Amino acid sequence: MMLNSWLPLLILGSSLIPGLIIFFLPESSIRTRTALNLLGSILKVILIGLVYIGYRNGEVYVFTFQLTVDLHFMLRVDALALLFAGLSSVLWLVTTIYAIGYLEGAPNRRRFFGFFSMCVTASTGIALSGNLVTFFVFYEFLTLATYPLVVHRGTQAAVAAGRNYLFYTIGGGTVLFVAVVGLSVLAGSVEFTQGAQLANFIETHPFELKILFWMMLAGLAVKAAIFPLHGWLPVAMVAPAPVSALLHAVAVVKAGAFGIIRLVYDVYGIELSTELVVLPPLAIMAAFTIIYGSLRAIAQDDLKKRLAFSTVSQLSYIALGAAIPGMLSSVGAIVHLVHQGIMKITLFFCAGNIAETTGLKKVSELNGIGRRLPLTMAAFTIGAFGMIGLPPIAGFVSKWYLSVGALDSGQPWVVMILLASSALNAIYFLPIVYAAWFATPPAEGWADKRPNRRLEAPWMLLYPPLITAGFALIAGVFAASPWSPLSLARMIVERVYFGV
Amino acid sequence: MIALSIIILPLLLSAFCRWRVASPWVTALLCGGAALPALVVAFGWVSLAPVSFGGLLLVVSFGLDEPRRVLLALAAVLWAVGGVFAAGNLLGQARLASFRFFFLFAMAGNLGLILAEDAASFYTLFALMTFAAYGMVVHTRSEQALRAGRIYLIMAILGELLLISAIYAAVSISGTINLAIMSESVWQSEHRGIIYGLAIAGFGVKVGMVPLYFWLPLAHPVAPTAASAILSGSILKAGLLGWMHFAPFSIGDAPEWLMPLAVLGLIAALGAVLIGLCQTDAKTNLAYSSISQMGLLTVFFGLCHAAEAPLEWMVAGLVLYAWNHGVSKGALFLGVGVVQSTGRHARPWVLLGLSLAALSIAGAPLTGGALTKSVLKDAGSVAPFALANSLSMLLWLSSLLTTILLGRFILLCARKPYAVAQTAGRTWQISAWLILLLIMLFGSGWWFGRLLSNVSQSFDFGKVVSTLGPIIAGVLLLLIWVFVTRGRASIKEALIPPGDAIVWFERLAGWLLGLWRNQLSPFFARWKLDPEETLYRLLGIEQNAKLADSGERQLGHWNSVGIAFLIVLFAFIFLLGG
Repeated sequence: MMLNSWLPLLILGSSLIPGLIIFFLPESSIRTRTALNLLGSILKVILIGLVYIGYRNGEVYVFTFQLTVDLHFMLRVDALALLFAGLSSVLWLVTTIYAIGYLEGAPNRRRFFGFFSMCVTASTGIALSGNLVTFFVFYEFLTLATYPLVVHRGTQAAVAAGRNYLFYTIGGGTVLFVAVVGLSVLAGSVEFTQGAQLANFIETHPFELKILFWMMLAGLAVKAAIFPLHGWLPVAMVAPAPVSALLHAVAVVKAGAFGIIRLVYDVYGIELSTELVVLPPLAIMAAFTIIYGSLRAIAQDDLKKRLAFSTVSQLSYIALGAAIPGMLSSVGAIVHLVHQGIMKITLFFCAGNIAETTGLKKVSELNGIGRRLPLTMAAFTIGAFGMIGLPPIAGFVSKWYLSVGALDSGQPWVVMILLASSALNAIYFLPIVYAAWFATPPAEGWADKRPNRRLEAPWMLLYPPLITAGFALIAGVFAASPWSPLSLARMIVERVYFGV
Repeated sequence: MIALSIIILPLLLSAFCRWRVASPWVTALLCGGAALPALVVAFGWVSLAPVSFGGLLLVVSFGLDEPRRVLLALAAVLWAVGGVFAAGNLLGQARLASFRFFFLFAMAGNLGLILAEDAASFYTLFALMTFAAYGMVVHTRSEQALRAGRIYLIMAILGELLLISAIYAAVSISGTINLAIMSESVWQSEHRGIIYGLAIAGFGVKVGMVPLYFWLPLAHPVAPTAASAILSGSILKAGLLGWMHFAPFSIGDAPEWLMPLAVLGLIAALGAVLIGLCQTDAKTNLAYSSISQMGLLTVFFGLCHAAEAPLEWMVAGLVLYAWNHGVSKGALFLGVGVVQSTGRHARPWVLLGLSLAALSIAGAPLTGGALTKSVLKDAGSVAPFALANSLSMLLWLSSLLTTILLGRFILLCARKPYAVAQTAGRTWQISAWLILLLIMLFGSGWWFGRLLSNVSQSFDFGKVVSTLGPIIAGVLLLLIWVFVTRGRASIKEALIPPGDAIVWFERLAGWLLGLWRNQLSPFFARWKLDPEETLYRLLGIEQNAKLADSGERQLGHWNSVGIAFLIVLFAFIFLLGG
């Protein structure tokens, strides 16, 4: 039983310790650093796998550490935590491989990989947090750990983007901080009890509860990039591809979305949130962001920027699903946490590959790129089709649950938003797919440079998007199997609604 | 397992689509052979037990009933014959690998969706077929092909959106994804009107219903001949199957749907012939004929909502009609390819074969067309008197118009230049075409016997004469026309552009796009109306960004961040704990 309480800490340590060691290693010891990175990320996947199996067999994993009299540092494993931790650990492993390949020969890799590990430690910490205080600590830790990654290139644009990023996230963090303190003053140490703790105050402090909800939401919405707090995301595109991939798919934006899910389901609980009438405005904000992000994405010619606005749009699916009371939409929201991650990371890996191998960054330059990078563009096509919501890719399953859930709770307008978003996704993704496969490549330039290798790109850049595209396909095709993200999401939601 | 093999075999074979051996056998085996399991199942040599897969998608179930068996047979025949035809037709041409790839993917979708018995897998396979068929439409990459592809894709996405919203609503109302149970609950709910309307429109894009048919006359002429045959013969029928899945057949009547469907069908049945007659391209002519024929089918489908005929009659009427039109139209399309690759000596024989197929569609006596039209008539005859009467009148008129339209098609083919040299792969094309003609000649009767075994089919002289009437009238009119114009090509260019009204939509879209590019977009750029940029300006981030260069760089160093982190952490603990 001792091990059970130390396992969550071990999971954190599997990235924290390699990260700390990397900081003290000299820049030149590439081998040791690579070994540490891979060892840590593989270890993390294994540990989370073990915990997952144990959890399904009814084991309990809790680690608490008394900070002050009524303040606990608490790590606790529940199904939602496992979902997010599993997502970040698996994608971290893939991204680590990608980053090693991507940054080959680049300067400052010590700093990069150190903070890369910190960043993943933070997001696993967010996943495993057992109470609000711990959540907040890791949430802020994440902000600080990602900043050096955003400014990694050190160019003027990168530094400006980093400043922008800090401006938004520190601002959001401050608001969140006040809200966390407020809730703690009101209810003591807030644990994730599906609103049981706060429900006692609905009679006495309804107004305070409402205000605190909106403040927490504002703090979380910055990272979840809900309009108008999404401004940092498109600019943060200047970061290197693996960072963008990680920022957009797993670490930062997912921390925000995950926080919103925790807030609605575990801090306030569905019943209390419904009673306070805080969900409809959230739904409207999310719906607006979905459409807004898609429209802005259409206007971008820079591939990564288009993907960034697409992230803004797709992330709000999660908030939208959380804002609609009902089991199916909750399943949709939670499963999209994973599905959006694997699809978007694929797209960013592919964008990185295109830029690395051909130097192309604009959508309008991608004519015939499928001939030069067939496998990369195949992965991109799977990711893009998934984003549009075409079956049998993972995005289809998310949209299915969100839409049917919205109809079940009598809100057909949500379906219209989702379908409009599908149409807009098609408008900004299909031209890329079309250009890649059906358009004629330019007569000169990258097209006449045939790859002299057997592979179209270095294997460390090529395999990660293929693997994640495979995930996106498998998560959709085998959605009903008991080990799929969908099944896990359903398990989580059953616990939220029936407390099983 | 056999159900899964029907879908998976084409997908697996697509792995070999880049095989570089320049023999027609490769394409024939890959593209034709992939349809073998479906053929075996459809013609009843192997039985297909209903099966579900608990782990796939949202739980997948497959099965096959008698009406869908006809559609599966139609699809399997056309894909197999089309694959063999393509082996000769596309021999030695560029992008053969790409054609094989999209061909096999679309085939997997088309064959699979017929077996699907749950909404999720049906929609998945339907979408697979739709999007893979795009690759066949744009196969030549010519400007017209790309334009046709663009319009095909836009309309297909529109259809998919309508369709998926119908499916969402149906699933939400019924709480199941089983198609049969789903449509039953839809018809018992108060929202049945809107859900059924969405489904009709969504599948209507595939069926080529008015006003959603624009892609048809554009896509058919530009696609490779085998693909056009399959598009018209089988892919259109997937829309019909979708209609049938959502239709209220299992619960009884829904007379409110009779009029809308009948009117739209009638417009298509008659109007498409008129536009088709204005065309100069043989395949465009055939595409309009398909719209017209599907219009007739739409009228009958509408009638099924109010008719009192037994269910099996109506369903048999729909699928038999689909079968006959599918194989005959397939034979006509493949015939265009045969005309182009054969010389002077073969021409009369080819035209004879084409005439047989045309007569079968027009419903001449002793053809499958006459048989299926008699089924429609008998099923309709139990409908209220006025309806039954107007249906038989419409059938008569349609026979006449189809005779004229397809007569003109044969004239257009007759005028095509002879193939000068021996075209490579000609044998493959001719054999595929002949096989399809044979199937067309004998298939309908066989299916009739199988579906309606309790109905004896007696030879009635009066009936034969009555079906002959409109054909003779049509041929006479055509002969007069040929006599007047002395057999010369009377029109050089299509009087109405193929795709008719789509031209206006394209102009409108072009105008809007021009407005955006030339007026609005520069306007936004000049006034810096970029929302995010404006936000940064308001927040003062832009100005401060200059400061960034100096001090910020140091923040990149981990020490300062680590210290900052610790400060925040301690402050936090202090605040809370204190």
